[in-house]
Amino acid sequence: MTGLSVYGDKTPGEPAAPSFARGADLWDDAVLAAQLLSIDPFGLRGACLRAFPGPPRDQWFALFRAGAKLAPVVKLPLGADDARIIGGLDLAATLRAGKPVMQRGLLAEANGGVLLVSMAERLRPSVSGLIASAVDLGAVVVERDGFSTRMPARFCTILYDEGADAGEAAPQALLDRVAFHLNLDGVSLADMAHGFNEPSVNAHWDWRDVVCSDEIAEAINAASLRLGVRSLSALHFAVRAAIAHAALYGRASVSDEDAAIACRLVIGPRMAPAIELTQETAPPERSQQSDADTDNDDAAQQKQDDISLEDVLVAAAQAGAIALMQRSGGMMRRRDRAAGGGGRSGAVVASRDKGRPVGSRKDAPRAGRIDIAATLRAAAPWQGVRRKGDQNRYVVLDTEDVQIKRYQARAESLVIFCVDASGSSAIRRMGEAKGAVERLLADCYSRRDYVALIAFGGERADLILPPTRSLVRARRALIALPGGGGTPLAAGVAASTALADLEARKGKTPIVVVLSDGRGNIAFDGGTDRDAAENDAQTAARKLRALGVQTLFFDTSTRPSPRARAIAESMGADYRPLPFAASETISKAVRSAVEQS
Amino acid sequence: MSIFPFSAIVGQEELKRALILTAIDPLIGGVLAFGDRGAGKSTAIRALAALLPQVETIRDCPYRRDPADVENLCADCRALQKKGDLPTRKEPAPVVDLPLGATEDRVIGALDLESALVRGEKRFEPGLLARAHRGYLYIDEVNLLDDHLVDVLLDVAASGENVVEREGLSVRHPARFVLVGSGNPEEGELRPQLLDRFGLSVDVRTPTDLAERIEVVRRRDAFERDPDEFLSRWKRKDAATRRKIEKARATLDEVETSDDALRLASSLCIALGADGLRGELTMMRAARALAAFDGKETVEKAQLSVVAPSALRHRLRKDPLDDADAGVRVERAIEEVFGP
Repeated sequence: MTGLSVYGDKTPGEPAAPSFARGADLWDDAVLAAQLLSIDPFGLRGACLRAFPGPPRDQWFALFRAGAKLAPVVKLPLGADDARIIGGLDLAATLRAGKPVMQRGLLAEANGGVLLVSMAERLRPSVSGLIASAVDLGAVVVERDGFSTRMPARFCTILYDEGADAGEAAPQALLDRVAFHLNLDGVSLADMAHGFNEPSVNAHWDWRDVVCSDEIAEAINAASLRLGVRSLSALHFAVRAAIAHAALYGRASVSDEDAAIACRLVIGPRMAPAIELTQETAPPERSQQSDADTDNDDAAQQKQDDISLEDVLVAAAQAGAIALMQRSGGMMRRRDRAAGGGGRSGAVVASRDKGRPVGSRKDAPRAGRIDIAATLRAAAPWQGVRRKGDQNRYVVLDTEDVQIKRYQARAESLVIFCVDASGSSAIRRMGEAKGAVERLLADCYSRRDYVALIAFGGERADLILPPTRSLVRARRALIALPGGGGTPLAAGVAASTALADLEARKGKTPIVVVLSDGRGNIAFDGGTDRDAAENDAQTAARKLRALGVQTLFFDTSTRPSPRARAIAESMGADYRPLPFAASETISKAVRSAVEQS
Repeated sequence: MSIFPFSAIVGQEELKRALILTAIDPLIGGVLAFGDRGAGKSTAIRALAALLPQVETIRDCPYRRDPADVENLCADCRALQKKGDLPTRKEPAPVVDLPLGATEDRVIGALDLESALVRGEKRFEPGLLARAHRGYLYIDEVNLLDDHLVDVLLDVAASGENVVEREGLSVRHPARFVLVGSGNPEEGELRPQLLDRFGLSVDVRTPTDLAERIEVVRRRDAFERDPDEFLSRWKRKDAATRRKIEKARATLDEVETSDDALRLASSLCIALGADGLRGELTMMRAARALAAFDGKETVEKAQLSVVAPSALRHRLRKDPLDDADAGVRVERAIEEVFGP
């Protein structure tokens, strides 16, 4: 195993877990991923690029395109409706031809090429579900507008993820289906020096000619399990990436180095942010030196060779864990900047009284807003018959054709719990909040409400539970709750404001529920100056009020405190002293607030 | 496009068993496979078609009616049957995909556009519900299905009949199918009414056993490299399972259920506070199918305890304060009620 470097400049013996890799390393990894992807685009299935638009993203895509030589490149715009994505009746052509003409959808159009999804972090679950099933089947099943067919749709998916913070990311259903999760955030122009590697001999074998031995597959598997990456598709992609890398260098079987690079590119970015460097995930050098005394449970029964390969792979994967999600410090700054700029969509108000359009259905003309396109589509079949009497009319409509737009009856609401996890009573407060979250979720399937939880304590606020409707997921997220330390109330309120803003723009109706005694003592900059902390908390509270979302403030001090009341007033919250905040009281209050909203 | 063979699927024993049991007795009423992404839920379900025994249908009947189901024949067919020359044929049982984004007209059936446009005729074009009759209707990502489609499904799955009154058409036809759904619970839970329509519910987990994981990846790799070779390697195993299912179907009616087994099943449901009678009925049916599959003549405790988690886990009342997984709760209760 000697001579294998994970990153060129890493000193031997140093644990390999940089939480922020350098820009040039990020770039080189991304380029290598593009090269592997162009060797096996349909096996590796695609990549997610986390970056704002700019030269790195453009150049990465240009490199990939030139290498993969796939055509066409089909862009999936965010606003595309089901009819455009899957395909359906082509209205104009149908009227012209006098018989049903089908229009291919974007997924089928991308067959043999690339499906490019920009702003993937904003995709609705129903759309990501459509893409996911096309990826799984290699085909799109059309059951729409009288057509029943199956069209080939094998493509390589490139997701552009412009998520600005941890809560905003491309849908997990799609992330799980592409091999590479790349991060170009922080790549500068100077970093973008390298293009594709040019291996000198035998370059570019067909990946089908390359085999991966069971030993290496087992080591990749063991390494990824040790790092908490359980997904089978991750394992599959890592093996395929190793095969592609071997093919790139003209090797007939996967070498240890191919495997290490595959782990760095595929397994590393899939690690949960919190995996720590424990004894078990020791760096390779240590176990190499002490071959004799390695008594790791799961490694013990394996051959000595494998132990070292597995350790190398673990280290390689850790080097690739480029903190894709872990941005809790940077989160607030980024969002504040975004909110200050002029780019607000203004959907906050509109979303509240209209809800999300969910297609149209046949109904009486006065039953709502008429969906013109759908109405014409419904009328199309009859034109031949109806026009017989009157050739001068282009389109003959009947009341039977009228289609009415439907909106989701009530915008989905999102209850954001903002919970004080600091100080001595943190555990009790978090316990109550957890109980309230579970109670709300347990009765929410009929009402389709989402719940999120932000905890603040120590020096920062963390999004512990991203918006979810799933009780299962909530339980998993809330098992290990932080606690203790100072009270960064300002950061907590600001994080809730940012999340509320973000979700309101997606069409949800947020409600913020604060559980705190109002005694913030950590300022935005992490300082402990009491006045600054108080000031910042007030500022954050006013920003929350400016957003205009409904807010509840449960004062958890032993007796109602003026400071808590003042903060609650600044945020325009409904203030409730609740020294013995019980989960049931909280969930009842929240439920009635949701019903009013 | 080739489909990964059923027999080549590694692990997922509970899901595979649930699917086989519904193939033996469709009245068990459907399978819900909820769980981790990429664990092979939809692979197993799509592979099922190769295992299904053929069904006997009336030739030329657009709804593939069953000649034995005398009550539901149309007038013409009944007349023919009386004369004794109703033409029938055997055909493969359908496994129909209901994709996300399907429109209502394609699901329940609607006016045939082609004949309306070209010939000006009003003709009913049967939808997916008709096509799935006597077979399977599969919904991937069932928790993302549009609400109004869920309403349609709930009604048809309960009545076994599809009634269409739209665009001046008035049609009713039989639509009895085994509903199979899969999804990831992290993307949202199911409406309780829809949950109830699934007879069995399976919790699909990503395997953590090293050898099993390697085998999954190895087989997928082999399949992607040369699908035809892979299929021919597994064809015989699939055929053997199909014969076993056919045999179990033939002997299903002869399997006896002892009073003891009935008593155990009810006490288990009571111990769990499982909602309604449906859990008990499904559990008995599934246990009977399993006994037939295993070549047993009576339903014993053994079969009950195997099928109980699938039959009951989605019928427990949600208890927000009990952290235990529903499957674990069922297993605990089995231990208490059934004893060692």
